[in-house]
Amino acid sequence: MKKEKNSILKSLRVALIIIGLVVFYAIGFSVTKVNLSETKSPTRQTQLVRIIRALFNPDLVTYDKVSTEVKSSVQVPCKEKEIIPIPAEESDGPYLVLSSNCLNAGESVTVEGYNFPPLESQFVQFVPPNGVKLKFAEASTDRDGYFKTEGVIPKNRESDDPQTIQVTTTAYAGNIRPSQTVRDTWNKIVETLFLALLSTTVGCILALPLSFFAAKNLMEKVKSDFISISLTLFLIPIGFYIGIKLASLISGQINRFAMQGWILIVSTILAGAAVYLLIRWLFNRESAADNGNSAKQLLMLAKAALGFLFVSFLYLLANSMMAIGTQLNISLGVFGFLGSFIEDLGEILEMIIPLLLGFSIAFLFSSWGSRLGKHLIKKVAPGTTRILSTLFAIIAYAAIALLLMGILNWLYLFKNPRIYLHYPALIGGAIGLILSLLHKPDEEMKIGNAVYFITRMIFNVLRSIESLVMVIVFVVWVGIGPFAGALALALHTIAALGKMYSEQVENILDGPLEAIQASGANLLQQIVYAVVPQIIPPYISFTLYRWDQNVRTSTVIGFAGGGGIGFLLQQNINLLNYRAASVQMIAIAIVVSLMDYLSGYVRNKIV
Amino acid sequence: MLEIKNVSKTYPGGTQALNDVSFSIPDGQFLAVIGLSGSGKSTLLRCINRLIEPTAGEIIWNGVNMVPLPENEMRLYRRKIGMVFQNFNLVARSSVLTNVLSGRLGYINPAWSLINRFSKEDYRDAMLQLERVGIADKANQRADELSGGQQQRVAIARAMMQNPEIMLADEPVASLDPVLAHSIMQYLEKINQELGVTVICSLHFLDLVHRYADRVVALNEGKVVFDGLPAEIDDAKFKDIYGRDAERVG
Repeated sequence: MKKEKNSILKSLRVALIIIGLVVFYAIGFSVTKVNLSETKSPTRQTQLVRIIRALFNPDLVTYDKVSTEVKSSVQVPCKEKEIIPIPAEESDGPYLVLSSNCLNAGESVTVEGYNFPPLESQFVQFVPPNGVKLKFAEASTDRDGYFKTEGVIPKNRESDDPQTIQVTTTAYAGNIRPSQTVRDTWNKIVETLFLALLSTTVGCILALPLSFFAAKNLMEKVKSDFISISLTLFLIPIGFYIGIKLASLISGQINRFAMQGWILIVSTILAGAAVYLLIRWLFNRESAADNGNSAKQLLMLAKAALGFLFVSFLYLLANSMMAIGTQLNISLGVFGFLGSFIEDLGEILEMIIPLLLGFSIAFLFSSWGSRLGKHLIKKVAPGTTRILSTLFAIIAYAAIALLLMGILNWLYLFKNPRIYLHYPALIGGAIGLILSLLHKPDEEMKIGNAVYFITRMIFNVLRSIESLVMVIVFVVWVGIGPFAGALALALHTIAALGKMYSEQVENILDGPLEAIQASGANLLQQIVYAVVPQIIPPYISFTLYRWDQNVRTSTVIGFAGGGGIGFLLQQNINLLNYRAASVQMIAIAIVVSLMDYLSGYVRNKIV
Repeated sequence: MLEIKNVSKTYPGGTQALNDVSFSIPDGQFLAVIGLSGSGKSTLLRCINRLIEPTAGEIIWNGVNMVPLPENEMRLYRRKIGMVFQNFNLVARSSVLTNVLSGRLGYINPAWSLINRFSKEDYRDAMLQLERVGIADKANQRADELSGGQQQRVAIARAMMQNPEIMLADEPVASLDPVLAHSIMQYLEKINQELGVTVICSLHFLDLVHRYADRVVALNEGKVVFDGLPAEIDDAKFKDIYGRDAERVG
């Protein structure tokens, strides 16, 4: 009895599920506006057939044509019923036969054509003595190249001279070659490939370091005590700011000399040599390891000098690259693009030096911060440390809150300083106070987990925005074209590769990492010696895969103004030029499948 | 003198790997740690250099309790403790020489190691260590091209680059055949006897224990069940260590 009840319940449940599914799909049909009568309408069908035929008939080749005019003369008006002899039948070439040669305006005449190209439209024209070609009649030839049509002699074209009825036929004349569409498509495909290459390269370079921050197995090892974290939190922005200011100071000093030509290049080389020698000297000093106090000060001084020299060298290098590039651009002629490439590289270098210096000094400050924190814990009385810890926490979290609010203020333009200054400072300070009461100064915090979480979140948000959408913003910034597309793709690639890379880092063998850690290496050394060698093959494989994917994406990115072949494709579709669009679709298919094959081959070879 | 005092370790999942383990090791001893798989041998060794954080207890080396030390200070102690592993744990795609050199990482400035720079002395030292284990000719091969026994020798050379005072060996011969096992054990014995390095070695086979160890500590379910000379392990002790149903082999 019980069993039966169960089976009834079971079938009821199945029935309910089926009904639910049916309703679900019904909603789906109505929402997607499924309209079957539209698919059967004859006008739509003829349009569809036209497009499909055009797509299967790509505009691939062009060839020379000769046009011949086949003429027959008539007398208008027909004064004396004078018969102009109708030309005798020619067996091979095309010729016309008129029902009459002597006609008056308004009279109709039958035109028959023989030996024309079969199955083509023919346009019959009436040409008065002044040479204007007037439309007379239209016909299509049959399989044998014969047509027959009828036209009316136009008015006001009377003349004493004989006039002409003619048909212009074009014939194939050899010299077959790719059509203009094919050549345009080739140019755009090349553009597409390089667009994908550039965006993949940039994305890969930036995703590489970021991926370590998104790897849980590395980040969960990063711990610091509470007081050091507070110190680091507000020292990092200060360090970054100082770095950027310092960079602009150094570049200002260098630009004051306004060096040009050989002087610039020689001073760049000298600066590079000085950097190299200083590094060598430092290395030998360090391994000699004499620990006198004055020696330590000397080392510190040398390191500071090295930093300063290195930044100056980078600026000089950027300047010389720009100078050399400009010069080459002029003198190289056709290969001038190489010059402008060097110039652009120099400019990119100049743009990223402040960022590099900012990050380096922020890093330096953070390590000083954590050293200071450890010193306070060890050497200073616990009560004092506790008070200092509270103070630092208040400052740090207030500073973070102000920084975040500064970004929001930039976005929303609050006019009230209370909203973007006072409240966030108060709230941040309060959070810092509460945290400092909850945590002892020397309590170990898993700060790495927070870094991991934030990096992951940024990756996920960036990844969820399609590059097709991103390109819209970049088009506004740098204008329609492949550059906007490359930037959008690069941004998306950073997020996608960053996530894939970090998953590879999480998948490495723990053993070697453990062994390197056991030798007393710090986290950075563990990454360089145990993680990096393990992730090189998957990194290469993922980068290739991403290039392949970027080629696919960049074929459509042109739809939103991002350059590449998509731009051409969209234009042709809008112009209803389906034969040209077909060429571009074929090109995309070939390139995508070739990339797929090639990247698979290389991946197999490397891994 | 390394003292292990009341050390316990409970993993986040709730497994208790070590339960109030205490013993001390005088300098220069060859100590074997035995016990069934899962008895806590590996955890114990890793607690000593804190690759695994003990949940309770103290590990005192020359008067310093290493358990509460922050990571950057622990690093300085860790470099004086070499370690070799059952699976060798070489970096497979790096050269043998780079693997050996990485034993110096604790001593050099991290900034230099980023650009893969080691001093001339380190290179000379690395070649010397490789010669000592008899595979100097393989220095430029990739580590994964070597056989198991050779890989373990590279691992010993790497650990010796640290100039260790203690050598931890976590079942160093469990993945090797008996002939190779003896050659690896002989290297450890040599390090112990000639250089006076304290060796703490976990082992599976009792015959190896009898042959090489000065002293045995046996663990069962995280507890010390035996602490004494290898010769003192009789049938009753054996059953305490390995369980009632265990049979002696070899």
